[in-house]
Amino acid sequence: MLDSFTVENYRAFAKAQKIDVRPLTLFFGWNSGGKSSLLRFLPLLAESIRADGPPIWLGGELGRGATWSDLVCKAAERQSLRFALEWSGDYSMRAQWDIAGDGEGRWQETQELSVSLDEGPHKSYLRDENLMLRWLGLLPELGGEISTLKDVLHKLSREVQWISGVRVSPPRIATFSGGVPTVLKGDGRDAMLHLIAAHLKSTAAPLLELTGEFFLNLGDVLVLDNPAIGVWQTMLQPTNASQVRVNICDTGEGYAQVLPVLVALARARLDGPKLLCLEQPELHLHTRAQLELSRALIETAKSERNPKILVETHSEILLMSVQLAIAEGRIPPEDVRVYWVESRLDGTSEAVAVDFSETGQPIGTELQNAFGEAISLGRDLVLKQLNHGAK
Amino acid sequence: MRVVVSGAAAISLLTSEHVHKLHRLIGFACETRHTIIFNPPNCLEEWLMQIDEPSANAYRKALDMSARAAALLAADTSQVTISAGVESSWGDPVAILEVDDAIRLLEEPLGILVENGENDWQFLMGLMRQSEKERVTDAIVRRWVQVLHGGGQTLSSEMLRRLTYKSSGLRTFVVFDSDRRHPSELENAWAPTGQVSCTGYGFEQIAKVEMPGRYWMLKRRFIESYMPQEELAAAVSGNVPPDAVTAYFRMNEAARWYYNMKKGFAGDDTPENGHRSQALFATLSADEKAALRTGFGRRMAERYAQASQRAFNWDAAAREEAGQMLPKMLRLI
Repeated sequence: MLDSFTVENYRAFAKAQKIDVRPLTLFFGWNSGGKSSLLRFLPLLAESIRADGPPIWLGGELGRGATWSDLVCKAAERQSLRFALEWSGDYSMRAQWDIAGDGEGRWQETQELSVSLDEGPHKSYLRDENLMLRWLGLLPELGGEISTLKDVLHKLSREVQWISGVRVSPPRIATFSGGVPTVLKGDGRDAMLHLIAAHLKSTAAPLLELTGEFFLNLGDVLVLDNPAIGVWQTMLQPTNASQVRVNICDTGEGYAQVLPVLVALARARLDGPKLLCLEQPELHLHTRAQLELSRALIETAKSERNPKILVETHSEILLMSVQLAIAEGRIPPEDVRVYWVESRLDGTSEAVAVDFSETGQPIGTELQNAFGEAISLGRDLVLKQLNHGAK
Repeated sequence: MRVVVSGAAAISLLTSEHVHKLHRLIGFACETRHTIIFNPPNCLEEWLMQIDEPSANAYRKALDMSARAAALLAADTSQVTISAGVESSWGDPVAILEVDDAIRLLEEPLGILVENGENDWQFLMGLMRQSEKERVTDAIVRRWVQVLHGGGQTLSSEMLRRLTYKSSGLRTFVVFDSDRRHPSELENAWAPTGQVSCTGYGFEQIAKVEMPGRYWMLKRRFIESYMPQEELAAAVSGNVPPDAVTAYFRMNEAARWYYNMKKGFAGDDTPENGHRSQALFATLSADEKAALRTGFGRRMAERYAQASQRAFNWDAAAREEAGQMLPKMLRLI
């Protein structure tokens, strides 16, 4: 499984940033600091591997038509991107790439690949030193450890599930013609199809059951209606009023937006991609529902298949729920890592790692001001109210 | 600071003679100066129902906010536990105090003691991340934090003066140059002997014993030893030999960090201290030694204050050291 990734001269990150991929890794920070860029790096890489074209494919859902100079750090004024991946377990290896590109987007190529197996010495493959070597995207055409690395990268591309911060509502009616791709669409548009596919595959329907736990704990039952052959609707019905069924797209944005997140989490526990990269999973959710979502995240993070979940979020509820879960012993502190992502005045950003004690207290002061505005507002309000009372 | 008030201590304050202390403690929560947690949380409910409703509502809200803020405090945040019928024990990070001592401590602004209240302070601010700067600046505006100028030679007497009282001693964080001339002088076993003098060593001895966890002795010799190349070049432009800045940055890390930035090799060339740099500069050419002979002058540190609005391009080691040491200061606010 992937243990960490490192990026350097990537988006706002001029200096190397090593991101440990824990069972639960949370990115917090102000807007425009670079949280999304970090969260999207693995999905971008996975998309590039699947595209099988240039080293980093910028024409897809993740690349969004960026040019090479959009990808590298503008403040650093360097044109090469460096990144590394580290795995442990079945494949214990570290690979590091240096990729150069042209500011006008005419070309990009891997300049150097450095690979080490089982913490052994690294072996470098330089494009310039061996002009006969044929490179295909990220890798030279070679056997041995490069062949192993190729397998590992392809596995990674199937393991990464990205859910975008901009999601489409589930359709009112879906027609299912059989079969779904391994990975959910980033905007979640096919979440309902995955539920239908799982339901048709087995009447036990564990995917529907696991997805529905969130709604059940909030007083609703998630139901798939099949009014005609091949026609499906996702409905919610209050636990105590089975006659009242509401199409999920009529329940408000919160439930509609969280559905793909819940399906991705449930699939990670069953047989789907288990390296999840979730942007703002709490979108449009009330704090009570955010609390329930936190529970789903924690349950998934510690489930049997050992999935790993990266989350970009602004949710104080999510952070405190995770802290409480640590304090209550529901998740070990070493399974959680928070990155506080902050930009500097010179236009570069850094991701500062925050771990937690066994009682869920942050080790370090970085998060103290994370929600400072809410506390300041509360202070101003309380003082106004006290002064008013004194008049 | 994190303040935990035991239920017994809270109840003991519910008399007309002492209730103003309870108001003061909750006042800290209202101001968000300190986080105040009553344990158990509902121990004041009966009293809150007896006071005027607007105050009771505001107090409840403030205590809820305090709990919310406390959840994000660092594990080693300075803590005061207020207990009934105890003799005060002024520990750090946890002090167990009776209520009067606690209020005295909580009203004491955190004193950040530096050798130079202008340049050294701006150096520290420059190393902080934006979120840290905002927090410290807000605390200074509210007079919860004071920057104290200790003077390069008089810092130790200022430290001792603050240590005279437990409350001000516990509310002091001190930052000083190491004044070391070789990395080996940072080892625990090292001490100046004979005629060797090292001001930073003297400061360190007091801080180590009296203020463990509340001081930052810079790893490098001076604050100037952290100045990035472009800032140094701008600071000394025209006042030093043309090759001095580039010669300085051609030296290896250890040589740069322990070089006499102010007076150069000439300033270190005394019989009693001359040997201390060992072979740090042995590989320098005669031209490089000449360029670095007289240093960069005594006013170079003013760059930190003059260019305080600029984002300095700190080297990775400086960022790392700041990342380890600044939280030790911030945990006290």
